[in-house]
Amino acid sequence: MKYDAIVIGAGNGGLMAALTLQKEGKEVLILDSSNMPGGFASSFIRGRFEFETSLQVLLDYGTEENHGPFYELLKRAEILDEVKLKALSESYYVKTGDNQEYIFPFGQDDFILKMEEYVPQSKESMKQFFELSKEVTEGFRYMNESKKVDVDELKEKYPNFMIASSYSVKRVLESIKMPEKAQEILMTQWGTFGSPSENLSFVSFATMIYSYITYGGYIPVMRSHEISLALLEKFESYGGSIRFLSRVTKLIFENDKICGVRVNGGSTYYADHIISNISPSIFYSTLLPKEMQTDRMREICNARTLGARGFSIFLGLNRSANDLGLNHYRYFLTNDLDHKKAYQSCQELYPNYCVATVLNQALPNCSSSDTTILTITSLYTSDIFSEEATEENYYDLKNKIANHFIDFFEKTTNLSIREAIEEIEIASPATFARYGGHPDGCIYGYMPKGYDNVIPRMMNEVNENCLMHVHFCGGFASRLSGYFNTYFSGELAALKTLQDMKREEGDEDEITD
Amino acid sequence: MKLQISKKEQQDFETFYALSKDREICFHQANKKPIISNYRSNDLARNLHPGYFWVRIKDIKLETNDTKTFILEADRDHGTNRLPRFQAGQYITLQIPLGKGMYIRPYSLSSSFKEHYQITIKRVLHGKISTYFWNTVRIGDTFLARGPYGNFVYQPIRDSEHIVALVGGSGIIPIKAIAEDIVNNKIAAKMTILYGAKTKDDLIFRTELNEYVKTCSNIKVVYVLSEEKKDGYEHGFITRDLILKYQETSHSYFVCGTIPFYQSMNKILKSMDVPNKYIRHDSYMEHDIPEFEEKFDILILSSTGEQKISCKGNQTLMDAMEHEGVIIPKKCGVGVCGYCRSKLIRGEVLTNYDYVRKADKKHHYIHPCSTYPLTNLIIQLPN
Repeated sequence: MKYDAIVIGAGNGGLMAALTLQKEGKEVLILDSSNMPGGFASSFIRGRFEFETSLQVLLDYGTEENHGPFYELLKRAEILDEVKLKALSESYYVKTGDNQEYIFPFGQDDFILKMEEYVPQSKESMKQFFELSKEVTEGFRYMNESKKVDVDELKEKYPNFMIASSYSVKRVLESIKMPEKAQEILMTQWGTFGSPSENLSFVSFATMIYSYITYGGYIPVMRSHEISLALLEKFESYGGSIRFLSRVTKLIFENDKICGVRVNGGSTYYADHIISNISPSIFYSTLLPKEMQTDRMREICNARTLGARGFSIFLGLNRSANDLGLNHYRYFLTNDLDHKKAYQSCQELYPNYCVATVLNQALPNCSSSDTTILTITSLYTSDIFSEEATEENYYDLKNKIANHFIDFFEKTTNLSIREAIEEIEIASPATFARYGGHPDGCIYGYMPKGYDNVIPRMMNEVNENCLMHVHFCGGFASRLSGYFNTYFSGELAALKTLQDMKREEGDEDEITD
Repeated sequence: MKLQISKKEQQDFETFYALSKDREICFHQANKKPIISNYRSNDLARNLHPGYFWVRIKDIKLETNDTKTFILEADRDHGTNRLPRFQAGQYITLQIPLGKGMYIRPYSLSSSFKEHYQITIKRVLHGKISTYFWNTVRIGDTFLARGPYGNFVYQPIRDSEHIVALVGGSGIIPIKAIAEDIVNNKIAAKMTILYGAKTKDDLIFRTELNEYVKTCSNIKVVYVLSEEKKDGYEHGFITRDLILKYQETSHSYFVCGTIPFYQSMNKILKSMDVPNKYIRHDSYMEHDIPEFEEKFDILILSSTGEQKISCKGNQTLMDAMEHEGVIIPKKCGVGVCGYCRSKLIRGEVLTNYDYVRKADKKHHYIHPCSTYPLTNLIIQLPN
C-alpha cells in the first residue's frame, strides 16, 4: 500500500502534522522508534508515582472567553474536550542563593505591581514591556497566520514588532530603560529557552511572558501523555495508521524523488511526501544516502550550534508538598540574579541554576496522599556532559550530578527533601538522546541566537528546503522548541505538504488538459 | 509607544531585513564537511542500551540439583562484539523459539558486570522454558538478547547504606550480583543477606557467598533452612524476629523471591512500619491468578495483519500469544514496565492497573503480560 505521506516520529510535531493531513483526507502513516506516542510528551511510572516526562507548563491556552492560540489549536485538532487542563494559580517563584525571593502572580497589572514592589521605579518600563509584548505577540501571530509575509504590511501594522524582533532581549529591555534588577528577575526564566538575553530574540521572550502572564499556565491532569494519546486517538479515528518500534533507517528514492522509507527489521513503506519530526542534522546525515547530501544541507546544519541539553531528576517524595514546605509549583533557582553567570555555570558539569516543579501544587491528586512529585531540571549549554561521561563512569556521574542539584535545591530553598526521596530517576543528556534521538540529548533544538532566532528562521524557511517533499517539524524546525511551538510546527509542516500535493495535482491537471 | 533602538529610525527596519542576509552569510561561511552523524551522548546511549544483541552460551555450570548457571559471551558471528554494561540487579531478556512458540523471558544477571554475563536458571516443575534450558541448551547455542533493564538496583541517593536482603530461593540471583559489587567496592554499602531455602543443598552460590563473607566485612550472610536443621544455620522461615535479630540500624530492604515469599515479606515489613522508600523489590506479578478455565477468542491486530488465537481465563494474553508464536515486545513480563502496552479495541479484561498510566487507562491500553480475558477480545499490538 502506498500512503500519501509518512511522518517520521510521533512527537508533538509529528502527531499534529499527521492529524492535520489525515483530517484533510490524506492517508498518513506515522513511524516511531519507541513503543509510545509523544516523544518527550509522555509519562512514566516508578513505584506509586506517575512522572511527567518534560512538560512544565502549557502556554497560550487561557479560558473560553479569553483564549490563546493553543486553545484554538486544540479546537482545530478536535481534542479540546478530550484533554483536561488545570490552571496554575501562581506564575513563578524565584529564589537565589543569596536569599532573594520573588513570587509573581498572573495578570499584567498584578505582575507589574509586584515588580514595582521588588524593584521601585520599574513600573513605567514594565508597562512599556507589556505594551510592546502585546504588539509583538500580535505581529508574530499575524506573521504565523500569513501564507506569505508581506513585510510592508507588517511594517505598517506592527512597526514595533518589526523593530523589536530584530534585536535581542537585552537590547530591547535596555532601550525601554528597564532597571537592571527587573531585567534580571525576568531573565531568571532564560532556562525556558536555554539562551541568554544578549542572544535570544525579543520575540521569543516577549511572546512567552506575555502569553504566560495574560492567559495563565496550564497542566494536563493526566500528564502530557494525555495530549499525545488524544492526538493519536483522533488521528486513528480519521483512519490514520501508526507503527511503533519502527525506527526509520533509510529513505528510498525513485528517479531522485523520495518515494518511501525503510525501517529496522526491513519493512518498507511508500509515500511521496515525508514530514520529519527528527532534526535536519540527523535526517540528512543518517537517513539520506551519502551521495545525496548537498552543500546546502551541510551549510544549514554545520552553521548552527546545538541548543541546551537536558538534565532532569524525577523525585517521588514520601511526604506531602505542604509538609515539606514546597509551596509553589514552578521554582527558578539560581545562585544570584546574574543570569549570564547562571548560563555560564551551565557550561560546566555542576550548574548553579535549575528549574523545579512541584506537580502536586498544580494537581493535588497527581500522587497518593502525603506524597509529592518534584522534578528538578537543568541544562547544559556546552558539550561538557558528553565530554565527561563514559560507559565506565556513567551511573556514578549521573548520581554525582543529581546529588549536586538536590544539594543546590535544598540550599537555595532552605528546605529538606533528601530524606523523603522514595523514588528517583535521573535523565541525563544520554537519556534524552536515547529516547528522543536528538543530537547529544539536545532538548531545545538548535541554539536560538542572532541569525538563528525565530524570525530569520521563519523568513528563510522556503530557501532552506533542501529536499523536495520533505518538511520538518518539532523543536529543530523554525518555530523553536516548547510545547505549543512544536504542535504548531507540525500543523505548519502539514499545510506545506498539502500545498506541495495541491501544486502537483494542479500540474497533473495541466498535463491532462 | 514607539520603539526606537538605533539612532535613526530607519536603521531599525534595516536591521530586520539584515537578519535574513546575516543568516545567509553565516550559512555561506559554514564549513561544507559532511554533516556529523555521531554524537557522543547518542553513542554512549547506544552502547549502554543497544536495544538487542546476540549472546552465545560459553559455559554451563551446575549450581544445585535443580539450578544451572549459563555463562554468556558476545556472539561475534551475529555482529555482537561486546556485551553492554549493566548495573547489578538488572536483567536481560532472551528470545527463545520453541516449537511453534516464540518466548521472551527475563533473566536476572547473577554476577556483576564483566566481559561475560552469567544468568542462573532454576528448573521449575512443568516449566517449559526452564526445562528446555535444563535439558536442551548446549554450549555454543545462540540467543537474541535485549536489555539490560530493570530498577532493582542500589541507588545511593535513595537507599540506606545498610541493606538487608530478604531472599527466598532463586531470589538470590540478582542479590548475589549486588553483593559482588559491594565486595569489589563498586557499591559503597553494607549488606546482610537473610537467605531462605529448603535445605543446605538448595542454597545457590553458597561457595561464592561464603567467600564474600570471608573477604569483605561489609557482607554478612544468614542461611535460613526450612527443611533441615544444621549448626550454623537458622531453622525455619524468615520472620520478623529473625530480621530484628540480625539487623542493626535502619535499613533498606531488598526483597527477592517467589510470589508467596514477596507476600509474606511485605506483610512482615508492613508490621514493622517500614516506609515504602526502604522497601525495594524486583518486579513480580503483584496480583493473584484468576481461576477461570473458560477459553476466549482473541483477535490480534498488528502490522503483520490479523491473527486469531485462544486464551484461557487463567492465562495471560502474553502467554497465549507466545504459545502461538506471536511476536510482541516484552521486557519484565509481570505488568510493571509497560513495554508490551497494547490497545484493547473490544472486550473486557481482568488486569492490574497499578502500573498502567492514567491516560492509558482512559484510552483502554493494557499490559498484556499481566492481563487476563473475561470475554472474547480484539487487541492491537504496538508493533
